[in-house]
Amino acid sequence: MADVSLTAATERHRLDLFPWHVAVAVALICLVGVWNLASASRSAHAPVWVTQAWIMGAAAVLALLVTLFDHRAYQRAAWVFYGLVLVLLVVVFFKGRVVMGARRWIGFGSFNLQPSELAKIAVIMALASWFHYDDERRRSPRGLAGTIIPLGLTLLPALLILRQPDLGTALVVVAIGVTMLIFSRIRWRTVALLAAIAVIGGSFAYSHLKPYQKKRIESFLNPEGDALGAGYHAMQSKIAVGSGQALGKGWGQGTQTMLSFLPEQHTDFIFSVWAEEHGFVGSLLLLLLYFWLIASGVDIAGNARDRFGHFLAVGVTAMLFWQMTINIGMVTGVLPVVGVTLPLMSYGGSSVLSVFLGLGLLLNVAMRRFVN
Amino acid sequence: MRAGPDPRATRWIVLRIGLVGLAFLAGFGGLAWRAVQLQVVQRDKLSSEARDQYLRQFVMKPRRGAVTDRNGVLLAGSADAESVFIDPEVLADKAASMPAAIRQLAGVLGLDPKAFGKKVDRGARFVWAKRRISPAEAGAVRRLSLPGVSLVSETRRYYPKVTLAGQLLGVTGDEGSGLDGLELALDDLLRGESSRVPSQKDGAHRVALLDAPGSARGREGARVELTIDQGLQLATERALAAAVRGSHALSGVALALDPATGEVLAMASDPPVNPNAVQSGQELRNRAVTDAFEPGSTIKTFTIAGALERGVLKAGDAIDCSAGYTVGGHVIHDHKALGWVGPARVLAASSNVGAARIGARLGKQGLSEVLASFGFGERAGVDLPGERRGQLPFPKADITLATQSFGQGLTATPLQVVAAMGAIANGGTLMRPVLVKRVLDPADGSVLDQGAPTPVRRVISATTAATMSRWLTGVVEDADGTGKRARPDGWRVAGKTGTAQKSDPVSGGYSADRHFSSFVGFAPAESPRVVIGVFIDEPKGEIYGGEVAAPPFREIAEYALKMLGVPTDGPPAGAPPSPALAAAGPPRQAAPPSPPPRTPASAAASPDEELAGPPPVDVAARRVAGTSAGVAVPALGGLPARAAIRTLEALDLGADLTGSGRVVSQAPAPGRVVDRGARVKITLAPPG
Repeated sequence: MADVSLTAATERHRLDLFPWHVAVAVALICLVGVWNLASASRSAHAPVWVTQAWIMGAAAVLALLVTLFDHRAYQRAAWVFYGLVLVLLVVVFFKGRVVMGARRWIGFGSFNLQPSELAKIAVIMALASWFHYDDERRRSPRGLAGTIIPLGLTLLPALLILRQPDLGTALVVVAIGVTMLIFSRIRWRTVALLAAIAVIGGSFAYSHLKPYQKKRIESFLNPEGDALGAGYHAMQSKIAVGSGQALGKGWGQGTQTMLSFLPEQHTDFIFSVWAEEHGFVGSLLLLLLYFWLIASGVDIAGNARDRFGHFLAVGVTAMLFWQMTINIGMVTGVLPVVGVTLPLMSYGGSSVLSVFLGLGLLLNVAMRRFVN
Repeated sequence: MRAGPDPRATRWIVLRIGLVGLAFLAGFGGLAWRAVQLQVVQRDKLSSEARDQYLRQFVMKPRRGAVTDRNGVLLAGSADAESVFIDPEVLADKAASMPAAIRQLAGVLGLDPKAFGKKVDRGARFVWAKRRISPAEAGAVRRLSLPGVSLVSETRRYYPKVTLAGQLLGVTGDEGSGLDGLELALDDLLRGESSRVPSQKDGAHRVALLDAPGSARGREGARVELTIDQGLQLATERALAAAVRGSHALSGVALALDPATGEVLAMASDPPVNPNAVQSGQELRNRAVTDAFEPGSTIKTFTIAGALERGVLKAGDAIDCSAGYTVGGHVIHDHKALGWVGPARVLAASSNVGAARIGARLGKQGLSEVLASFGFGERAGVDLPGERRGQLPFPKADITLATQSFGQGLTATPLQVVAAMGAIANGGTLMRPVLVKRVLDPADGSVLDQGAPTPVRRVISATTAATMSRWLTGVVEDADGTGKRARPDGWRVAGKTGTAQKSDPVSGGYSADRHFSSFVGFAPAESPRVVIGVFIDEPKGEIYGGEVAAPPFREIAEYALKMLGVPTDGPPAGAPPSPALAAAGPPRQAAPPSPPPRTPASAAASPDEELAGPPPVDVAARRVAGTSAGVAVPALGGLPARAAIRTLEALDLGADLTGSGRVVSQAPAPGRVVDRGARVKITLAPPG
């Protein structure tokens, strides 16, 4: 690294290795997202798509900055970032801004930060760092005892997020952690054992959910039972998606969108706007774009130069996959309504920021897939 | 150069990458499949659910069709009136000051600014400010020229003849649809075709018009020409009102029909109703069809006609009316024993005994069939809202057979009775009453539909009908006929009186002093042009149909015959108008001075038919009592409760009961003179 000529040579090399196909997929999704937001924010909301476009631009710059440094530099920085996010999560718990009954935001001037969004990246980095260190020294795959530290690293922020309360983001954090854990050197028996513990623990946790969270899960199981209450979101989004039919109603023509039948239509339920106005063809196209991105992520993970990069790529890909799956599953009524944003489609600064930070890490790993 | 991890590690990575890839692929597959389900498989169901949610039709009512009488005189019309509506969002957006604009508008329209402001604030995108405003108000609204405030042309229903045929015409609601009467019955014709302005409803239930409600109002409603003649209607209403006022009755009904076609020429109910300004709680019902009464002696006409038709009665038969007629333990009396008389006298003197004996000849089945064939127990079919069919129970008991023969123990609407009388006037064929003469296209006046005379059935032969007409003329013209006051100057008329006792819900039997008095007949007697019925509910003082219902019949008949241009017969020989008629009416044209009646005493007392219905009650006592200011309390000791109540009622006294059984004490004591309407306390105890 000290050798200047070597550095210059590797920089050129890295540009050659820049995964343009990933950048194109991201750019396309961003364009679609902003275009769609412009339609969704026609009715009651301010033109949020302009704001979203600015945030995306800024976040993209940040992501490119992230690619400049060799990801190994982040191995130590991961712990600093992780600690910082934990502090923010505790701060938000005491001083956060309450919106709709949940304390999720910290105000920085005019910008409201959601530490829970950053927590996903922090958990990815911390786990990658831990697995890099721990798998290297391990002689045999981990048993149950070996899962305690990675699970703790995952559950600590997840529980803090759950207390905000933000069930959706907490679930995503856990899903990322579990995906990365399965990717680590682990015995299959341990995975099975963990699954059993999760089922038992889950049923125990259900009794500790907030009433509205329980209601959402119940209404997911029978949305028609309470179409104007808890099942309203699910029913309305299903109606919107289904009424889009094969080709959709056209941009700006979504009746359910324009007439505000859909709540949270520019954030969590943005997919229903897209599906209503662009139909089955549009939905499939968007899914293909995500598939393109996520498949690239899996590819990058498989070709990572070292364990740390490998785990980073797996974590970021898992984050994109789970958020997309949970969000679209919720909008189409196959999963309960939990507040999860659709990457690059939903409006929201913190969400965009965390996705681009993750993408920066992913690109970073891809650009350094060969030893320099 | 690739970093060289050990082969185990490579295998480990490949395995997991493959696994995660598969899992991701499954996730994508699941989501894609879900998209297929919603957007392809269930698309129609979900699309229609979406449409149901947002699409609303905003309906603009067209001008409602006019209703006229048979000569085109307007009875119900629609005037243009403008209505103001607001789009509060536009008003808030573009007006300098929303509260000021609201205040201005409320001031111009005479609305309460606070309530109006609340209405506007409710969040709808479409708010009626005020509907059907005056032209002056509309001008003021235009001068304000506020953004988001618009005027739309609507129509307002009005009835230029005010109370004329009020109950018959009915009323319309705020949305312009018929709520009662002909307005309801003919709503399909009158309302026309609405135009629909598409509008949307959003998630917060706010309605927004997608298009301004333009001038397009759809197709105007048809013009309906009724069979009513407004002149005759007016004369009918006036004669009826005078009779109802004069006898202090509760209400009255009068009808005039064309016997040949069944066309209703006049249909009046009293007290009147003004459909322009209906007060809440006002009775709108058209009693001619909505109320069924026990008709009383007018039914004797049909009993006798049926018996004659079926051959169980001959014109020359003599009927024993010399004494009471015992049937099933009850005795039916006439007011005055007639001796052995022919059927004509049974009708003219309205003998209950005679009618019961003739009814017995028909038998239970026979009488039931005869009355049913005259249309009793089935709707007259004029298609007015709330039309009743009346009750014609099969006379299981002999006493019921007897009472039904003279019109008690069955109920009928006034229209049914008049239509049945029309069958006799029409040579034996019952016609369906009709109210609509023609339906016209509002634009070019072309006839869209025409009411045609509809025979229901032939009830009796023309010969029988002619005989009945002759006998019914005797009711009016005979010396002891009960309907002498029905006789107009210059024409011969036929008809029948009726004075029914009303059933009493308190005692369970018949009321002693509540009557339903009527006169139903036709004119001229030989070739009838009009059949008229007058029905007075609960007259006070004079109660007999011949006294309270016959005079308005005469007035209506005179108007109708003059209107129809029927030449006068000249005064018929041998049956001059009664002095009572000459004295009651205004001076007639060139009527010769009437000779004194042959039997002045009986004419003055004018014995009407015996009051029907068991048990017989001394009505005379009540009438004597009625003339004095006070009433002596009768002795009630030992009477059963029912009898005590009936006795008190006959004297216009009320009863407060305690206990059950027979009367053991009363207050005030017997013989005390009290005001009419006073209440007598009665204590009852079981006998023994």
